[in-house]
Amino acid sequence: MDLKIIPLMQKLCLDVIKIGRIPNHMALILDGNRRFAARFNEGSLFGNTIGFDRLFEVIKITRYLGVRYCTIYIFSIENFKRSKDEVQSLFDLIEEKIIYFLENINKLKKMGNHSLVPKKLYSMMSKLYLETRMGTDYYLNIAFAYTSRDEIAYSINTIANGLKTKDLTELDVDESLLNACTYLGDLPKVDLLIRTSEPSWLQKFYMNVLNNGRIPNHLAIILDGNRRYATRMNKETQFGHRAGFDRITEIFNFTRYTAVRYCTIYIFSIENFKRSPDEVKILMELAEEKFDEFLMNIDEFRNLGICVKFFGNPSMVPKNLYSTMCKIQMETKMETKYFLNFAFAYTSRDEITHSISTICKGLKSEVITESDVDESLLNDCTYLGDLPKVDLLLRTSGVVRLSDFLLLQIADAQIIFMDCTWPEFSFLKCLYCLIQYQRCQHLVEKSNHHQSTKASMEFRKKCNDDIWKNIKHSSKAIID
Amino acid sequence: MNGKMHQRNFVYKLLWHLVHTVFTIFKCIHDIYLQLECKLIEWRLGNRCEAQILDNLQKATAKLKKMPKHLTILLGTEEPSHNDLAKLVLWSLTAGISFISFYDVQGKLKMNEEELKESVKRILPKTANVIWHNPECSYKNGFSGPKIHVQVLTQKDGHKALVETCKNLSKSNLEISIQAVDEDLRKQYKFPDPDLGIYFGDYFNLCGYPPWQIRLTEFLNIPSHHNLKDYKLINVLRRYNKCEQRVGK
Repeated sequence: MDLKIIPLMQKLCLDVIKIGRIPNHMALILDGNRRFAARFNEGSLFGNTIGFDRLFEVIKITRYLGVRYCTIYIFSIENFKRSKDEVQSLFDLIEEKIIYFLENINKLKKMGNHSLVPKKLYSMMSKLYLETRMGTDYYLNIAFAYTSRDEIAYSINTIANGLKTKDLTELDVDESLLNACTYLGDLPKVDLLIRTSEPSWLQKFYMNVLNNGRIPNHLAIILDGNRRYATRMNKETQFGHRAGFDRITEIFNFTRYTAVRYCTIYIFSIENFKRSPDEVKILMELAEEKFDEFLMNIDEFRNLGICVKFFGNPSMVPKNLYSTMCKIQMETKMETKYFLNFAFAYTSRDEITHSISTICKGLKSEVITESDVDESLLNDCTYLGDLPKVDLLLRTSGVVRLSDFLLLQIADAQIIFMDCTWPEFSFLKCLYCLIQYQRCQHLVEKSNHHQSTKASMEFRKKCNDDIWKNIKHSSKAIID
Repeated sequence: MNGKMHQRNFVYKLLWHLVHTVFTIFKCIHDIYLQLECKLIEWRLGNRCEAQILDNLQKATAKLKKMPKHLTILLGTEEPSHNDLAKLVLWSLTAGISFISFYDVQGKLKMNEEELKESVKRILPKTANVIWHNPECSYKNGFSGPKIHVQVLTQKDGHKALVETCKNLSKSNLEISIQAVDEDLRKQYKFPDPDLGIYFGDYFNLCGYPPWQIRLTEFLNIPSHHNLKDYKLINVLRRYNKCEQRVGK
């Protein structure tokens, strides 16, 4: 049975379902194999075999839908109470299936009490686990020789040992620690930015239709409304920010398959430092977590040809975070397919001032003359000098101002204000914006003003080189 | 295989035209609805003379908590209608807006600035003082009575002004900070930063409007400035009042 091929009718149904919410982590208790077999007057082995086949189908479907974690209850510690023959035949069947797994699935972890599993089976499972450790697309967790009470007892035991050896204090012990010390403690993981899965058939279809009109080359987005979304859902603000980040993933994944080549996103403004120190701390920690994940999975970015850049005022970013950001930039420097830019600790006035400052230094040291100073030089000396002009600027949450974002670069852009909050900015709303863009873009292009030709290429190149020198220097200074 | 691809591309193209046609139809229906709404409002208000309009405007704006100090109008690609723009100056004066600027990217308004001055003079009350800001006349002081500052901006006030600032700052020995740039630009722009910007048409495009000053400007839409009605301005001002400026917080 192939884990990749799904019949067309099923795909259509799944694509429709995909429009709504999909569970991130799904758990299954497989039950009824023996009853099924009895109905066909067959032995339990028949039922269990069919059970496995059904399991593969479910894995295939959930993987396509976008469920990332699937945890399955195969064998409980209580099942050892069954007859010896039945237990043995189950183990043989599992052995056979593991060999199949070894050829196919991305990641498989076993969880359960090691001491109860027969040695041969355990070594095979360990082998499978080691082979699939680096997969990150889909997590398949199999509960074998497991009961939840056993797991909780194990978790409590680990924590108690930690308290005895003074590695932990009583204050550290809370619900999340109890969760984290279970067999699969790292399960509730935050989603990564890049998904290597392709967009769905339906999404591709929409894109093929839209590609007949103009698509913005450079898309800029002001994310707004995370906190409002969180209050509406009666959760804390961190929930809103995380939901916002997931939304960046989705929209970016979609735009990657259109003709959009540059995507610039406003994450954190210098004005946001005015918020309460607690909130700023939470935001910085969230940023650190996300950027560390980027760094760990930097190969995915390189495979997809994505060049990640951060821009903003470097002196306002905490040192560790800045080093991580520089490292990411250095690692993806040579990619040229898509450009993903994040504005962090940024305001446009700060950027323009920096640009003017660079030019003034150049004038003072007589590298350039006054006649060289024009609009295009001003543009090129910004933090991301070689960025093309923005074609479409989106702002969510109904606010109708620009909040100091890319003021120089949006001179000819079409600006669309959306009323929904950012975490609610769905794929369909994105399509709506693109259609609006297409309807009016020919009028926009007529009224665009033209820039003068470029002079003093050497100075521009030198500015760019200086920036990269700083980035390279900072990327090496990662403090552990 | 090629034939099949051509077929498929043809279907996609057809669907694209279909989608855009549907959108256009919806837009037309929406426009008709808006026009009907306007007609209804006008029928309810009945025939009003100038004085009544001004009176109504004053009453409506007196209730509003905040009024923009500087209103900027982005004319965009519309043909400037001097009468309507003059009306806008009059109404802004009545509402208590101190500064009004017109951004004329095509240059047509700037060329006919004298005509606009005449139109404004004609409809404004004698007691009101209109202070025009252009390179020829300097800022006049010492007026009593209601006054409003008017300015027509063009493309050269946009990015080119920043270039000028850059050159000016390089000659001085000041440390280049946000305040220094702001002060130098103020000498060219003269007015305070706009609080409210109004753009016309279906879409919003800055067309090279001076970038530095608009960082916190609220931008609201009026479909067209031709045959401009006072209740449209009142609606915009009401909407402006609802905008909450958090400035990062």
